[in-house]
Amino acid sequence: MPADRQETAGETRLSADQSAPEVRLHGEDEVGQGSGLRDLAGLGIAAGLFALALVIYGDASSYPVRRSYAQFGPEIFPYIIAFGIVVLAGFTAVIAWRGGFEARARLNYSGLFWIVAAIVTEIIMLFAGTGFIAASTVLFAFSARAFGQTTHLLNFAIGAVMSTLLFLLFRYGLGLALPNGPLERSIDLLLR
Amino acid sequence: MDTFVLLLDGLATAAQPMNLMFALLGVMLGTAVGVMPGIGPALTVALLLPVSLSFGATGSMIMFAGIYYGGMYGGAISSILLNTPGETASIMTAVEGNRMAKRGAGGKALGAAAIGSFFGGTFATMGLALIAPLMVAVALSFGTAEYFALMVLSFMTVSAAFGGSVTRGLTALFIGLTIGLVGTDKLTGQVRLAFGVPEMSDNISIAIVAVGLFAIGETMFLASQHINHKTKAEAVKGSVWLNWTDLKRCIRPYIRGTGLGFLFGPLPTGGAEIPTFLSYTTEKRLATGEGRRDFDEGRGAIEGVAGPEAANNASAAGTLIPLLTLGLPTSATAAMMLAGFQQYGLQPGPLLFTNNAELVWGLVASLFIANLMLVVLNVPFIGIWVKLLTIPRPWLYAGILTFATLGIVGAQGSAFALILLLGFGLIGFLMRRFGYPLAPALVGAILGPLAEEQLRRGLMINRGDWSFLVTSKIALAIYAIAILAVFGPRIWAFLRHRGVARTNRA
Amino acid sequence: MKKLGIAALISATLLAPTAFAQMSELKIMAPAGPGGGWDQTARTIQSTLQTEGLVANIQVENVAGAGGTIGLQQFVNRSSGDPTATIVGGYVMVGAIIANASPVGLSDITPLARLTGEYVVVVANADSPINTAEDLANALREDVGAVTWAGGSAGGVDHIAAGQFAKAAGVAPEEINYIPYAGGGEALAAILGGQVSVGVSGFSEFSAQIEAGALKVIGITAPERQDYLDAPTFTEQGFDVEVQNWRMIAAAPGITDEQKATLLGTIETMAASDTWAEALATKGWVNTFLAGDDFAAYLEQEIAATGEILKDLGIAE
Repeated sequence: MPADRQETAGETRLSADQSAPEVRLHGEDEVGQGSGLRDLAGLGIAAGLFALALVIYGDASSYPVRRSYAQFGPEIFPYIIAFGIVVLAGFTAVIAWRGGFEARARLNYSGLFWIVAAIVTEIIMLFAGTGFIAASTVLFAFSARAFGQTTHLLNFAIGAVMSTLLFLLFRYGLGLALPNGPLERSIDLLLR
Repeated sequence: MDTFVLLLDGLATAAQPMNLMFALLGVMLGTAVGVMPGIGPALTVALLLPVSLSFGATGSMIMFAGIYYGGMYGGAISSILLNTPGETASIMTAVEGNRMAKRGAGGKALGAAAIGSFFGGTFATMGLALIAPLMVAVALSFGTAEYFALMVLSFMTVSAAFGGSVTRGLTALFIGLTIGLVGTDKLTGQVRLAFGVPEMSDNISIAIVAVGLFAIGETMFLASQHINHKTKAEAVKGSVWLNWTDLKRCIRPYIRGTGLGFLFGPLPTGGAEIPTFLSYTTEKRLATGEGRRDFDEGRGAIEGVAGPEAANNASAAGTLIPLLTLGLPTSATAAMMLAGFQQYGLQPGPLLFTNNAELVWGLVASLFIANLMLVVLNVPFIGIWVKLLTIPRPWLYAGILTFATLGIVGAQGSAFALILLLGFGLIGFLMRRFGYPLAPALVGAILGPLAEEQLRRGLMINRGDWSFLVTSKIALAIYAIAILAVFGPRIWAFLRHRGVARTNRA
Repeated sequence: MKKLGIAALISATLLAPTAFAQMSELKIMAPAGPGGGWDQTARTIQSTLQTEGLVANIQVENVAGAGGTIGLQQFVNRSSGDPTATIVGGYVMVGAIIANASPVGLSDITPLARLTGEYVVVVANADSPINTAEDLANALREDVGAVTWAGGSAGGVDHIAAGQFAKAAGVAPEEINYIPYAGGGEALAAILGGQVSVGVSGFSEFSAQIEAGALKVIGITAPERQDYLDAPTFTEQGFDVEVQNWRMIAAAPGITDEQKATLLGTIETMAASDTWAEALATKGWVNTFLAGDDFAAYLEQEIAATGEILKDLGIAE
């Protein structure tokens, strides 16, 4: 059985290589057409669900026992949910093993990377105190890049204009407190 | 009789040019804000409370009503066109609405939503004017057993509606239930699944979950596809406008959605979500003819937009019943409106109708006006909204991400919320990629904690005696409806099949 | 006497503008989301200070979460030594710090003044056989679990008031059948619907129903009778229950005494202004102003007492 699996994966990987050489991190993204091919990613989901159930169980079993007229406390629902997830993880594993998941389109890793990078960069910038406008501009430019827009300067320009307008609108129009950085503070000083 | 005189007086007040201006301003602001994922009408009303003090009681109430309805409709716009619902009330609209937009019928979906909002809002407001006291009695007769039965009904019907793959539907539901566990248990103060992170010791805001799973997940999913995003999307195929056939398909969903919204609005179970869930599942179940095909073939059925949209605006009016008569807010926006009343030294409660009749009827009248303004303002603009889709995709989706993060950071006041948002975005992406439905996850996250609370509260009141669940007649009736809704069609089909077989044999 | 009056007049007309007024900048953190009680307090302070011309530029920042402890922690970390930084808070924070085992406490900031407060009332449905505090105490002594209390969150001010009453009635606070609801409003439906024995929440949550006669007041947790409510206090009925859900403003840690005096002066002037009185009246808040060292002492006492009752309730270790 394992040998069989190896071969199948190898084959698909090969075909993937031919069409788009840059996508070859995981062969499993191309398997599982619902034609009985074992789906590693699906098994991964089952494993993830199982781990989630363990985490919930572990957390719930650490609650101190409190007296309650309900006869049970905050731990019962987590136990029930964890049990349900274990059962579902089992079903998921069976489906994945039998190749029940539909075929998935090839992943565009670069697009996904840029989106995640956009949000992660914004988070880092906000924690570093660069303020909303700068962080938001980077977010805009990176996510436009994720969709294949390589006019970087233009992306940044549009992002900057939009972020500044949004900041002005929400800060002064609605009084919403957005993260302040040097730029925001200067605008504040100017408009005071 | 008296009621109508008062209502007419109210209408006269609300129709003054200055008040119409406030209504217009509110609807525009509400729509604009509602379009942005993460910023809802409740937050807008909260932020505008101090500003509105200068408008006077009537003026600001009219504006708030406009924001409320406008926000509901704005949520529908982003749900339909971009599959990124910003409000929990418009999640169900996204399911069919976005499929319609993908086949070039986004304009029709928007039209169905606008008219549905008007229909639901108007008729529910009439209901409010006529039978508010009766509805209060019904709402008060609901105890923990009845609420728990309602949750069971919602869980069963919603899970059944997403029955494409039972395992995946249920998995999504359980992921949602897990999300609902995170934070402080209301009944004991026990912190669950927070792993020592103080930001997670509060329950995770549903706005973060919804925006993450839908808006962020959708953006990631699109970016992860090998398609040339620069090809211009065809925004409209055929007519933008609803034609007579479309409208005819919408009428029944409007009526049912309005009924559901109006019934559920006054119940303290968290606002517009349950009626929209139920409305969607009802329409999906009852659709026939072309609607049936649209549902089954995933083309996007107009009924699935019409019902929930009528339901969410009707529930907005229903929410006002306990607010005005008991001072009991059953949704976030209602809570803000309560704060608005208190700002003018008014205490909603049993005496408000007698002591401040003018203001109450002025408010009811302003709801009518705001509703009308919504349709008048938005139907002509549908053509323009649809043009949103012609913005080059890279910038459109970059813009959505910017709006979404602005909404979350602004409302939560911390960049930590963005980490959660990213996490839910990744979960949403994976769920899309592996064909898991998203709506059950949100249903679980919203209803799970409510169901748990009601059950445990009931057990506390009855000191651990489970029999309270089945001693209430109302609760039993609700369970019966749930069983009928889920298994009824199968039983019906079985019986009919046998009937056909028998006639064939004879 | 006359001298004193003149001195006061001088200080009001001369000193006030020179010593406290025209602070150029002030930041107020509301450690809660927009719209809640602390946010409204912060924004009322903001508008009053601006109307009175006491501070030129004021910003309100919301940091929501964990009973205000997330905001508090951020405030202590970021604003240390900043004389323009203030934070709004209240009694709920005292309990939240204990229950969440927060790494920072109220001793890490510089308390300025208690501004407003609300007393808690215990109510029953108009049809209830319970009429007085004595009735309620007897019912508790007879079968403590049979008396169901509907109120706000576990370990919150309503729960604490219920626990104090149980203690005063000679019943272990841990034994009461307290059922937390998401807020006074939701508890209200349970009380009106006759699903619970008594309700316990801030006065404003119940005031409309009390006025309408749908609810009767068993007692209020104030030290003496309040002119807005015709009902006895618990103290006068022989039960030592005194709880006030107060709100305060505090400054950053590590500021100089001089800077503290400036801030305190500004806040005192604000609290004495007509604008402030008017704002409180429209919002139905009761002015329980207490400033400086008196407030610091009060705060210390509240922290100790709350820790004790939370232990009795089984919320804190």
